[in-house]
Amino acid sequence: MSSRLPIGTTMLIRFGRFGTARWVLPGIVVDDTSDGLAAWVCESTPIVRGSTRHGRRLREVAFQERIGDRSYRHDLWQGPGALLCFPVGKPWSVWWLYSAAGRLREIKGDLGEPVVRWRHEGWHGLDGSDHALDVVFDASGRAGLRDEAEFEAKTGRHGYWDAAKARRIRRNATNLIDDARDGRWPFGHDYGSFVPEKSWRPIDRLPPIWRHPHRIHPASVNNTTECTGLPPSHPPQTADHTVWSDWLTCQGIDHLEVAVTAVPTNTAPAGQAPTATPAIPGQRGAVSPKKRFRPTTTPSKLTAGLAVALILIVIAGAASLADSLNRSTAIDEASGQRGRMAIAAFEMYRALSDADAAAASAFLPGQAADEKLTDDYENAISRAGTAITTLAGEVTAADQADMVAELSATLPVYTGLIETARTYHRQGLPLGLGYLRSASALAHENMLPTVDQLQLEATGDLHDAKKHTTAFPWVAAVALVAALAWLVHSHINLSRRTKRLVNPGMVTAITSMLVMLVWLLVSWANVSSHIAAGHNNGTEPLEALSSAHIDVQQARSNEALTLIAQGTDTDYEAEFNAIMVNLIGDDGEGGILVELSQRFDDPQLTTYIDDAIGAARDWRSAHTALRELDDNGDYPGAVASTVGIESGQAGAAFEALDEALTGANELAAAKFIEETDAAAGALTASGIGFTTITVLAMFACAVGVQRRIAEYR
Amino acid sequence: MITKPVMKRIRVAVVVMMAGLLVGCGSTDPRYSVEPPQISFLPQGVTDPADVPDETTVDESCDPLASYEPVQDPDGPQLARIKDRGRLIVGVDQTTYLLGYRDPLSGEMDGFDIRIARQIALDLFGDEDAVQFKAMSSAEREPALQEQSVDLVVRSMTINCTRWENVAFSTEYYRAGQKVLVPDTASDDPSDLVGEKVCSAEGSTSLRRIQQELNAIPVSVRDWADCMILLQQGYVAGMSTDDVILAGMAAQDPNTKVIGERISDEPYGVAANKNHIDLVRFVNATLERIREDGTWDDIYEATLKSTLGDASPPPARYRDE
Repeated sequence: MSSRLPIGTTMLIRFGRFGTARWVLPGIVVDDTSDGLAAWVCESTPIVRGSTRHGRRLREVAFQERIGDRSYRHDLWQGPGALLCFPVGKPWSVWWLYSAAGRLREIKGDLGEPVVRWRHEGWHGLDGSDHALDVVFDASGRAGLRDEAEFEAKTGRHGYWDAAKARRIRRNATNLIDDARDGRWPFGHDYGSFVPEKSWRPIDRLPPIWRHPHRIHPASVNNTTECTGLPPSHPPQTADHTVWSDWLTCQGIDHLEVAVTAVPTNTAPAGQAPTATPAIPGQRGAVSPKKRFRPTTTPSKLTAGLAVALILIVIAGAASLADSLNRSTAIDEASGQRGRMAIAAFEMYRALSDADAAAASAFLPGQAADEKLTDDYENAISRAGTAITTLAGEVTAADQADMVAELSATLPVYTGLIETARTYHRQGLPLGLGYLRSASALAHENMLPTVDQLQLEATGDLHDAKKHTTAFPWVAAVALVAALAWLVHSHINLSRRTKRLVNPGMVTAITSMLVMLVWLLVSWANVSSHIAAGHNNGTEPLEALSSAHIDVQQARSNEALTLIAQGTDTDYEAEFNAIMVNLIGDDGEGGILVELSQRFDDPQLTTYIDDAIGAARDWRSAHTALRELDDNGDYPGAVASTVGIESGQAGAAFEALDEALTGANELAAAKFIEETDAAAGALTASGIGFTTITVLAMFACAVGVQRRIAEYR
Repeated sequence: MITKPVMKRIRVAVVVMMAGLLVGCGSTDPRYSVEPPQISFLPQGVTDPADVPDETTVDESCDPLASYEPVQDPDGPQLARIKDRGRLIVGVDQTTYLLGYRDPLSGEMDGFDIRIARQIALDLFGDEDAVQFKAMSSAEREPALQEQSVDLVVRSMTINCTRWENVAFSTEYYRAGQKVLVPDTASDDPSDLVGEKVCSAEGSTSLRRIQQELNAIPVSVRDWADCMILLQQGYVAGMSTDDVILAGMAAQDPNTKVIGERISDEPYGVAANKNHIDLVRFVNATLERIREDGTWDDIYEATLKSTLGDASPPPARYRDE
């Protein structure tokens, strides 16, 4: 009999002996599952109960009179209705007895033969045979045995059970209590709050089929057969009930002591962890039952799955949000602090060299009142001052702040020396040259090394920041993939269970998680490419070109000094030549400028560098020419070429070179800022976006699954 | 049933996580307080106290002041070569005021040494401007003559026997000596400098004399102008070197004065390549002329007199040949 009875069907529950049904209860099917059958016996439903020969209730007489030849009587079920549960293959039934108010009063485990189900003439029924011994669970969850005396009295009597079977029956009681503790059906189910449908009514009278022969045969009761090992398959067929009984009898038995303190009722919260091992017969001590939350029913399984999904979604959302916030901060640091600091350091270096070269050039005869040189010098000092201010705002360590303070305090000393030099110079006194050389030494040996240090630290920090901004978001991606995988798996499970192909809520959740994953990856790729561009087209060329520009300023200074300060200890001409060789190589085809023009792919930048190379070559030839003039005694001619701005003169070549390198440096700096801003832009709204998507996914997932769960109520 | 408490827990967890994230994301902005740095400016290369060079034994094996007999005849091989060239090339200083310097505004060279050189060119070519000046440092004087990149060196070069081994000198054209430059308000007595810091150029013999003659603390710098800067800043009490150099400094800063008697003797001579005897004779002839016809006095008056006071041309001495 493998078909399930629909809820609401009336069936007959019969207990009997010797092939006769003595107790017949009509029950309305509440649950018929693979765990067992639960039936509701209505109040005042017509029943048949066993009685003495004289029709007296069996409980009113002594045990001896309850044995043997007995009769039956028709009656009505007294008191409130009861829920009878027959777990499959178990040698007991569990009765849920309620008070008049409808609350659970008592749970009775009625030990007996495993029931046999039948169908005949349109009626369904199940037959069982009582073993007299009951296990009763009271409201506080304590279990105890009842009717032990009657059980002992019936032991050994014909048609009942012998001593060996009696031991087995007692062991069944232990098993029953174990089942109760473990929450196996029907104990895990919330039958305590069961309320029958209002439409259910007791039948008018019992059908005649109640007299049909009882299916539990005496031959099976007292026989012992071989153990067959595993229990036979469920459900038992009419012919198989002997095998069931025999299997039960094959179980070894211990002695009979049972001590239980509590049993989970349905008002207790689920999910409590087991607090002690269950009582094994023969061992001492009261134990607490395990209160494990094991989802055995579909709704609880679904809820558990939903909880896991929500947790995974939250983790994924939090990880993505944290990633985007961290990346944003790193970009801010890269562009805000370290980038500006590096750019300011380069600018300071160039401005100072520029001021030095302009000041030295002003000492060439006839140049003292030259407006352009004066303007150049003052612009350069102003740029240096601004660069110091920017540096002061961007320092990231206390020792850097000290360095900037030192620079800031030294700059006025430098300008003071230059002004003193200029004052002497304007009076035609060569002492000015001494002051000029002192100022130059102050700049080159005191200030510029400090700036160099700051710039090194800034670019070093910049490289670190770059690594942070372009790191792949492993944690967030893995969390998102995990969340997606679980959602897809849950959705497949859900559609299988509920036989509905698409759950809109879950699909929305899956789509939003997918969107978030794509967004995360795309924004990461975007940020990476911009930061890399900012480095390749920004800071890398800036570093190299700044260095070249500073060398050019130094060379210009040297060129002037070969004319005004020759004969002092420094060989300015040799320094000039060394710088030129470094810039464009011995032959004009090598050197770092040529190398730089091939390294970068920005066409604008390359144009600037090519212009610079041409100007450097021109300058070198002009310089060689003017050195010849000076060496042959034409000092004024040499001076004229140095300052001259006509083509072919050193002054013009220097101006062109200076302009080209300034342009290149400014371009690189602008590129860096542009790319870093673009990288920051790639992350706008990702904070809000991720949060919104996470909340949306959680909501959709919860709604989608809750709908399905609600169908189980 | 079971769902409600689980959902509640999830909600609580989410709120806590979000709050944690938002709190953790605010970054603090540290501000640094800095002490005003001590900036004391000194020119680079100041050594205090100075490394005084070891006492070198004065080579007295020759009579350094005795030069070759003057000959006015411009017929020697060197003179012919120079005449062909059309100009005289002279190694000079271009940074020492009043002695050999380039006027910052006009770009022209001027100074005592320069004018002496121009007199030589005048005698040779009839034109004072037929001379090309090459600025050089003290260390470059002798190598330049040996390599013949210049014809003569007129650059405050002291005549001594050691140098006579490498170059040939003319007769003495100026007798300089070591004196001290002090601020105008300081005393005129050099003995007040005992225990004070006095500056000179590194490697110069003046340093030893500062220590021994003045009993002062020697401080060395890379260049004379740096000494002047130290003096103006009050870092040193005085600066000591040849009085002609001091004269140039004093002329640039009216708040200083040259004090004391000479604590050394520095006879200056015109140097030429050791083998160019005819050139030396020609130079001696020119020097003889300017001693006698008052040109020396004119040159002195135009350059050094206002700072150093009266002086007369040192007498010439010739060797027996």
